[in-house]
Amino acid sequence: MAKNEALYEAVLKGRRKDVSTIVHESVDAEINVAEILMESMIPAMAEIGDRFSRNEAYVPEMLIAARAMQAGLDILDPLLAEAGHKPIGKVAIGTVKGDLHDIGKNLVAMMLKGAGFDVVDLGVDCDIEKYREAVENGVQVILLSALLTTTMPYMKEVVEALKNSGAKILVGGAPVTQAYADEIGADGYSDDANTAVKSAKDALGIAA
Amino acid sequence: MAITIHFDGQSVAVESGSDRTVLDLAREAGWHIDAKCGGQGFCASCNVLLGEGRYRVFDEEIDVSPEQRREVLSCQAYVRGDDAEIFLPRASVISFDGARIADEMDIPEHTFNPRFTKGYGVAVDVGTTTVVAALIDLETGKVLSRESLYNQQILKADDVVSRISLCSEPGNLETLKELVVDHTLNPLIHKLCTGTGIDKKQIVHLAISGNTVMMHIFFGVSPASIGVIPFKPVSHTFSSTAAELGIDARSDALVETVPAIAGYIGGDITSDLYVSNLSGRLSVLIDIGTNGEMVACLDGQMTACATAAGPAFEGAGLLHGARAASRAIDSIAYNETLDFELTVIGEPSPVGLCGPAIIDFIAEGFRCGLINAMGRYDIEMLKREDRYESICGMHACMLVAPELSATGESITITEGDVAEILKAKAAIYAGLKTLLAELGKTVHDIDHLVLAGGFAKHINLENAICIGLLPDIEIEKYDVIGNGSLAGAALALLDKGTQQDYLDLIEKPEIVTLNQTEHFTNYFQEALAIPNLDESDFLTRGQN
Ligand code: B12
Ligand code: FES
Repeated sequence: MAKNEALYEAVLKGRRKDVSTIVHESVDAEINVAEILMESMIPAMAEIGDRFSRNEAYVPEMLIAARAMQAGLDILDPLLAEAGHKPIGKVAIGTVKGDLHDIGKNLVAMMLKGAGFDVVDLGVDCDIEKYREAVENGVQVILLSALLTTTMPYMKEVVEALKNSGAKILVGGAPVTQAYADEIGADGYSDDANTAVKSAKDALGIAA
Repeated sequence: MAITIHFDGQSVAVESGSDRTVLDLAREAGWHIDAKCGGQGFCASCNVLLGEGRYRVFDEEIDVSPEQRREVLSCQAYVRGDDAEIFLPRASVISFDGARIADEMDIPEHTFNPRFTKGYGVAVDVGTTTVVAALIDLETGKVLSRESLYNQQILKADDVVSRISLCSEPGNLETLKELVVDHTLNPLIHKLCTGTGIDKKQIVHLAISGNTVMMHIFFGVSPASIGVIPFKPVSHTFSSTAAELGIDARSDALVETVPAIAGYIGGDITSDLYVSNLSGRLSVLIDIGTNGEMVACLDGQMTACATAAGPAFEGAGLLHGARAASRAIDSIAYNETLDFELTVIGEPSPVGLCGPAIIDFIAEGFRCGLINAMGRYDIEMLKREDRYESICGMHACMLVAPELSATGESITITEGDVAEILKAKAAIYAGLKTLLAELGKTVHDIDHLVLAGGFAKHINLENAICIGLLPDIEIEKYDVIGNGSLAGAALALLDKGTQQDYLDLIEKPEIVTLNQTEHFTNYFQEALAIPNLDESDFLTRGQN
């Protein structure tokens, strides 16, 4: 098997139930789990991401596709771990202290997973210590998300506390801008989940 | 030359001052630039065109030649030197003309037993965008007059959270307080009194109803704690005197708030709840606005939440969005021939469209096949009917041709605009579903659904249901109330028992923290489609 068109379409269109069914069937048919992921599901997410960059898809569609992708990953994740699938880098993502919005953060996490990263999800309301711990556990890139203008300033504190830790820090979320990222000295910024993947790769010097 | 600001055929010269932003210079010239994010540089509502001159924008020095105007964020731009030409686009300037403000109120039956039996009282609804005041004769209980104005705080920032952020810098809390008291309420009192021939000094009681952040600022208390987890207010009630607060009334006049339920569920909702007369086993109150507050009541047990829909329904964040004021398109009807039938507030030629119109647009588009369940256009149809435009790489539908609009440019709706509205409606619908799930119920169990807030009066209910903003239940179960917040404030003046009722009422709702529930995210994602990915929710109205 190369690309499973039906699975690709199901992820692209956000048909969660179809994704589960096809993934189950493929697993039962003993198709290589990495192949299911790499040949059909990830290309679908990449396609959605590209369409998003071209203004041919918007956040609602991306979220719905990501939800379908997650349904597939729920089945595949344990099997992938068994198979010793190798990530291209280790990153951690979390919403900053005082903020509990995580829909955008989860979408970014999903795109990063889709691109082959090992993603540690730190959850919401993360203080500096949480991020520091992640760095101590070998994370190479930290991604900070904030959706409130009142919590965005905390990003600055995190950047200052961790600037000599060796990890790269990327920031994002609706109110965050490139100008703000530059001002606080973050290593990167992007305004959507698709370019977030590129920023993470850039930060680690991985060719796109 | 000097610094000249141009708008609408007029030109005004202003003094330079390198420490002032172009936004401030325009204000000095007498035009209020829309600064939705409070001048923080991320909302782009404050765009202007720079003509010949030297400027600093963000941290960059730029020279602009006369032939090549530059579009920049005015809140981030400074004039370097003494000469500059600045052009204000119509979309960036707030017009105070013909604003449609909900000032009708229905005061429910009550006992007439005012705390003060002589003199006059003023009931005030302090909204984030508008403030409405009513003058009441405390001897007879009669409402003598009503007036409304934009809350002048919108000159500083649009939404409550941006205003909270502003308050973190010294001096801003005082400025915001002055804007609402000295520049909004006092002029309203002046109008009420001159219109009725009453002396301000006879005003002895003011009751103020509004969201929690507005109440903090009104009383000069920092709302900072409401900006971050756990979103706790400093206090649920405030009281003071007119003299303390600088209000034009008898100096010892009592000024009291309608108590708030929580940080994001304010006294305006307490008022709505009190006057809306919820009936049936399961009833729900929804305020369709930026915060999207709602309360569900099952056999007397209450749950409440704020869904944070955002300001899209007020036209913010949409390419040609407009507030519900003069020259805004406020309703749209059409079929697959795309011959749009529009109504416009006030003047005949429109500048943009307000919330109710974009709901109509999406609903009609979904019915005739122009817009699919994901909010995407049938490009062929747009091209066939000569309505297709491409704007910043986005597919767009031309609603009004350039020669028919007041701006000289076409008025369009992009797919990105539709996506914005879908996010906002998804937040409201998902909030409702989650609240009901916490009570073990679904939308189909609702017996009575009350809509509050200025926006609700003007939406077409069938269309709002069609796009999946509101639940697919019989239209008879819906009730739309006028300005419940104002009515609640009036009741506090008319019956002294009300304040205690309010204090009892605010203890009742259990606050549901949506993100901590099992379902919200899932419901939100399902509700991003038109009308919803969960088809069982929209069996009667979901077909196109
Ligand atoms: C859903 C939502 C909620 C949900 C959150 C659920 C959850 N689990 O996350 C709930 C209802 C809980 C919520 C709560 C609050 N919310 Co809210 N919420 C929203 C809403 C509707 C959508 C946000 C969203 O998920 N967007 C979709 C995602 C995909 O977009 P995104 O997060 O921006 O992410 C994208 C990019 O930014 C980027 N990105 C994100 N993170 C990162 C990180 C990195 C490193 C990178 C590179 C990129 C990146 O990639 C993503 C994909 O492209 C917005 C309004 C709107 N219409 O946008 C308000 C909004 C964000 N909320 C707001 C507010 C104020 C609140 C509250 C504090 C108060 C309130 N009014 O209720 C509360 C908290 C109260 C409480 N006790 O719960 C305001 C913020 C205003 C401001 N000036 O800061 C908004 C804008 C609405 C408004 N104007 O009132 N909210
Ligand atoms: S970007 Fe200037 S006011 Fe928001």
